[in-house]
Amino acid sequence: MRNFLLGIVGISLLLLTSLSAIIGCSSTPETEAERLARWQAGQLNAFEDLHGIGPIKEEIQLGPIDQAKATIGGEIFKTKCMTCHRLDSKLTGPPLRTILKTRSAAYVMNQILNPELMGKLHPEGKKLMAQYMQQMTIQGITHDDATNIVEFLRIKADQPPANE
Amino acid sequence: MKTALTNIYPYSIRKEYMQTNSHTALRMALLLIAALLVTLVAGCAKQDSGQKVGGTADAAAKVYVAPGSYDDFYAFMSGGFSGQVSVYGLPSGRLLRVIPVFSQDPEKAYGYCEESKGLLMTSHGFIPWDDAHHPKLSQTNGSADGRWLFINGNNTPRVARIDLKSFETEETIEIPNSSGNHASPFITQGTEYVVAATRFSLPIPNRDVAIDSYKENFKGTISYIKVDSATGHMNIAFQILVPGFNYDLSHAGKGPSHGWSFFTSYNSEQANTVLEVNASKNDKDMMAAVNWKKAEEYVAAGKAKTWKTQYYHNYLDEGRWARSEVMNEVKVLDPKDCPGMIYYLPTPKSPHGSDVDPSGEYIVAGGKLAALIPVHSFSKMIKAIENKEFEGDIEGIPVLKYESVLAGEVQNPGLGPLHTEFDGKGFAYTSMFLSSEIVKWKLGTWEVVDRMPTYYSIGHLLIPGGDTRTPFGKYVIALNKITKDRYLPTGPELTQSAQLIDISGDKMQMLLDFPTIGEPHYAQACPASLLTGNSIKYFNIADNKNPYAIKSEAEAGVKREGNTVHVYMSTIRTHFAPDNIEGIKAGDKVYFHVTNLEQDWDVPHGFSIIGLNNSELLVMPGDTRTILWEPKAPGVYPFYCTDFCSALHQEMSGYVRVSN
Repeated sequence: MRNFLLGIVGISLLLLTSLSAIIGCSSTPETEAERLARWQAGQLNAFEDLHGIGPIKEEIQLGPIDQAKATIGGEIFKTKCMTCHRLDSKLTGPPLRTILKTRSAAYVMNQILNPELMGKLHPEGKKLMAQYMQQMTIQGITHDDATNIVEFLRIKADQPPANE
Repeated sequence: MKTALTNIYPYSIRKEYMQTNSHTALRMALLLIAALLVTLVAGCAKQDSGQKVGGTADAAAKVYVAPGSYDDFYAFMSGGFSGQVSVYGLPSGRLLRVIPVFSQDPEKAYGYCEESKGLLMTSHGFIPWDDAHHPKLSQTNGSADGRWLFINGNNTPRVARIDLKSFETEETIEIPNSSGNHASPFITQGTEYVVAATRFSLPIPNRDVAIDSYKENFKGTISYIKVDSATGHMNIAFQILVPGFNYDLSHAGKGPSHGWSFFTSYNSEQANTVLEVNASKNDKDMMAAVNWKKAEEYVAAGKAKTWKTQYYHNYLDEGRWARSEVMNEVKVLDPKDCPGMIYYLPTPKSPHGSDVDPSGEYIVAGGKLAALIPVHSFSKMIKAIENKEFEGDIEGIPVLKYESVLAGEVQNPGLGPLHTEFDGKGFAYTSMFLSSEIVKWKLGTWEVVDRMPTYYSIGHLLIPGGDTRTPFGKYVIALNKITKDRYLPTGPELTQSAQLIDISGDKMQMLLDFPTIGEPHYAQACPASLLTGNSIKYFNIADNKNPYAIKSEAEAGVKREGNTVHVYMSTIRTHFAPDNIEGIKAGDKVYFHVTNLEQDWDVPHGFSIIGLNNSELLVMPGDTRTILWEPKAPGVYPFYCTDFCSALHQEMSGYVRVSN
């Protein structure tokens, strides 16, 4: 229900924004600086509320699981993510096995690619920051590798918890 | 001389006052007199342009950099006897960084961690200190290019290279057949070479001879160190054997004089005792003009002799680990075999600074004990050489006639001229040590146009780009040897200081005093924009080639090799891996190889363990540093992160168990 309401608010906001853009006779897309200023003012749009803030600006359309990408994602998960995360238990950060059941792929990717602003400016990220008292670290992960990690997590989501 | 006198009186009286610990009445009287004089001085100074002491709202506005805003210039100041380089922002005078170069720095584990110890190796063994005098920014076509900063070590002769992407010392090279490496590391306009020269002549090669056989046995050397244009790596190309004078300072030619270097010297008397008297007798000493392109030709033609010697060349390898190479020979040129390579320019009187103007035509000598500033002309020098206008020769080096090379003399500039910088608008600024002032004079007419008292006893001075072909002007900075009563007292030792002076108008305006680290000698400054874009934020973990690096926590662990234990440890907010270590025995040599897995700007982690006999580690993101710990008794020893990294920093700790 909340998401539905947020969606309506978001769509109205979008409409208003585009309307004012038309009225203002300006068709220039939002610059990076304008976007950041909007986030800092707490004015996230509906997409951003649901899918996070960062380089991923559209929903990720997931096809069949790509095993090769998942294997690469698993390696990165081991070297980068496991410094702070486990699949089934809480460590420096939250457990991640079922993360894709509660968050979209776009949200997970934004969290990986833009952890600092997600922690500081996104309402869900701020909650996690308050809970774990720790900003997720920047690991220099590429967009491609973030999609690989998503494929890895898709497989893990359907497997039973392991004894860690 | 009015300004000089008004400057000196209150200083000396206040000095008296400071040194008197009894006789309150006398102190009060002196204080009153001093106060009276200060009032008089302030009164006199007022009509004399913006020379009054202290800040005005105008001066304050000119140095104010709002919170969160950046300074316009980086200034790199030598630390003198601290052995380091300090980095300041201008115009605020805010200290941004201290870069360890020749001295150990436990804060950064410099000279303590295994990776950096090699940078301090010399033929005399591990030397944890030096006296660092003259930073020089690398140049392309005579202008600062923001790649590297070079600086000399005076005491155990060395030159170091600092990388300006990481602000870290990457390389040091020892200079053989030298001592008191003072005229160094003045660079050529394309950073082809940095130079080094002996302030203290020696028996070369060094051997056991009577000190009073100085005139017979002691020589100087002038060394040219080739700089690789891609990597910055240094390599001693050749040394020139010169008469045993005290080679003091240098600058390379530029523009038309590119291909030459000019070295002042004192002690043409070749005295070896009571130098303050015996080395100050001659009316003129010798400035050496070296045609280094000619010297290159002589080396290529096989005129250099190869001498056996020993010196260290230390540099960071691709794993950022300092490697030390011991070098065993050096090429030496004797001026007797190399006509046209070096000339002497007679210069009054124990000259100190050797400064070339932006056009490359004028070579200004700070006639330290002279009542004038002599300026040589490069074009006249070339003509005089062609016409053989020599007054003699010294050990095969032709001595040109003073009048034949002289462009002009600045008359009555003040007392004790030392160093000169240029504003690029036709003016020169010379520091006057004895009369404690900066004197502005015009190139070509040699007339003094302005004076600014400095507090106190100025040595070097700095204009951003003021020794290059393209000075940025705007400010001159006085680098003072003595501050006495300028700051809150801190016991017998007081800070040295820099003073920022606006030179954008006709008259100099004093803006700001700020303290410096160690004793500042020379300094360099460049626009911030030259460096900010290149400054690295972290080391890419994927490119970490330290042999003990780990790329993930999965690789963390402990390996034993006999009595040596290697701990492969990682850090990331907010834990170490491993954080509980058992199986260490008392008497083991334990190497902690700490890799910081962070990939974010300004997130170093520290590492320290109780009983560490050297220093903490401070590990930059993506880097690996190694420290040796030798536990002596069984027990449990905590270790922890020393750099407050996060809200859970206090939790970032662990234990090592040591057993018998």
